[in-house]
Amino acid sequence: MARRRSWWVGRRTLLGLSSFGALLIVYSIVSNLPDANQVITPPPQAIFATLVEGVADGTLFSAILASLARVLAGYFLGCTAAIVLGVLMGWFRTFEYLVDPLVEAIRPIPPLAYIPLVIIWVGIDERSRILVIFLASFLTCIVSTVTGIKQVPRVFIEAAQTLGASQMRLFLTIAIPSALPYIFAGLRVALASSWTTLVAAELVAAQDGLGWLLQNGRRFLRTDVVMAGVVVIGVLAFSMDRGLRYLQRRWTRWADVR
Amino acid sequence: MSAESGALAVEGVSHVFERVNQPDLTVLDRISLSIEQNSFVSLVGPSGCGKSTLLRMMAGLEHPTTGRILLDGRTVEGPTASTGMVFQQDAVFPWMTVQKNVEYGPRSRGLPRAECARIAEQWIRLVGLDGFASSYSRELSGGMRKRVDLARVYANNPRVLLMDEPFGALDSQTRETMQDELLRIWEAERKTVVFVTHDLEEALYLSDRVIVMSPRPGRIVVSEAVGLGRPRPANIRISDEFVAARRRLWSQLHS
Repeated sequence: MARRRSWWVGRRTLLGLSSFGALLIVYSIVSNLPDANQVITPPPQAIFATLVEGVADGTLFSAILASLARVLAGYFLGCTAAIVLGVLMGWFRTFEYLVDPLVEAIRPIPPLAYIPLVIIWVGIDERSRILVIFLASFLTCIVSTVTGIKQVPRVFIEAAQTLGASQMRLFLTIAIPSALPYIFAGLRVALASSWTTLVAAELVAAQDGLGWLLQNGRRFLRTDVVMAGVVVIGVLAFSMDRGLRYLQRRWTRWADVR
Repeated sequence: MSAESGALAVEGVSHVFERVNQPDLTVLDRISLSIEQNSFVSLVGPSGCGKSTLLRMMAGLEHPTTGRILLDGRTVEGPTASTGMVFQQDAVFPWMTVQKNVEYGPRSRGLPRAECARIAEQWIRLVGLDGFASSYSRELSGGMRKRVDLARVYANNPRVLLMDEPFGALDSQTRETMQDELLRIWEAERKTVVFVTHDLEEALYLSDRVIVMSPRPGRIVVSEAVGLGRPRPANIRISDEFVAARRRLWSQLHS
């Protein structure tokens, strides 16, 4: 098998980094101009100092921990439920007819719309935040899981049947692997959706976490804190997505078109 | 004839497609034929004559509207390992290596791991895929994928081999090579083969018997034994005998 170049080397990464660097340079020049308002546009060095300070006094760390725990719990539960239910829906007609209308009706509603309802029902506590993230990741992930199972080419199923595969074996060795690329796509979208929902949930209903940090920063006009929070969320979400992408590459290498 | 010899009998099989807002479509009209064990039989006919449907029924993937299909005296009711099938489309499982693909049948039947590996290795060698056991489908050419299909179905030792235009998607060069390969393997391990094609030359070159079907609704026009000896050299295709047989069947096909 021809080895592809690793993701951190090469022209492509360099170009990607340079656009990022350009943004940083432009912002750095603008924010350091003599008549710039440092409260509204804190220069990069101030944001960096805030980050260092946050790490040193532990506030940043505890915010990250609180948020990460919520995302991971909600996301993990949501995706597990979505994959189990989605696989069943994709494979068993009866099950699909039973559950599909419900999922289709709920799916177009943005998960954020449930926040008020969840607060009323569950209250402002850890469970409500996890529940919203659960909903967000569940609803995004289930759709691609069902699609994945339903697209399994008929010829693979028939080939396996005429080789003597049992229903169970067909399901485990044909349906699931064939759907894996779709499931991974769903997992990645669900992850992004989880972070979106997390921040929204923490903005309105939390006393800790990164979303709360942002909200607090705004309240005291600490733009540097807000921006530091945005950077941290970006880095976390990006690294988690990279992790997923790594697994995706590893487990669905066969599906690579290039 | 032993109970597991691979003789097929088609008894008065019709296939009717029910359609919405249109009259029902009769694809096959009371077909009866019997296929002897270890013979190589081709079904030839224009597209839409139901030859693929008939083959799929033999595999248990479709059910006749009337009539029945018997394999060694038992009615075919669903797909089993007894009736191996090679499809026109690429059916190599892309998430498995060549080795795992070829092992799939024996593993499905619950043979011990070591035994499956041994069988697979043997067939991979026999179809000329030495050194590709750990390759994936996307790393193979169209012709090589067909070799995997052949190895996979042979490794499972079915009683009957059903082939639905297996080389239809290949270029003509590769196609002839694969025909030779198939003949070579079949000479080495004779099995009952039912081969669907729309290519008369292919049918004649491979078969003991060629069955010509009419356009829809499919009926049997003629069933002709091929008088050519075996093994058949590639240049038999341009011999007088071959050309004469081809001409005869051609006019039947287009009558």
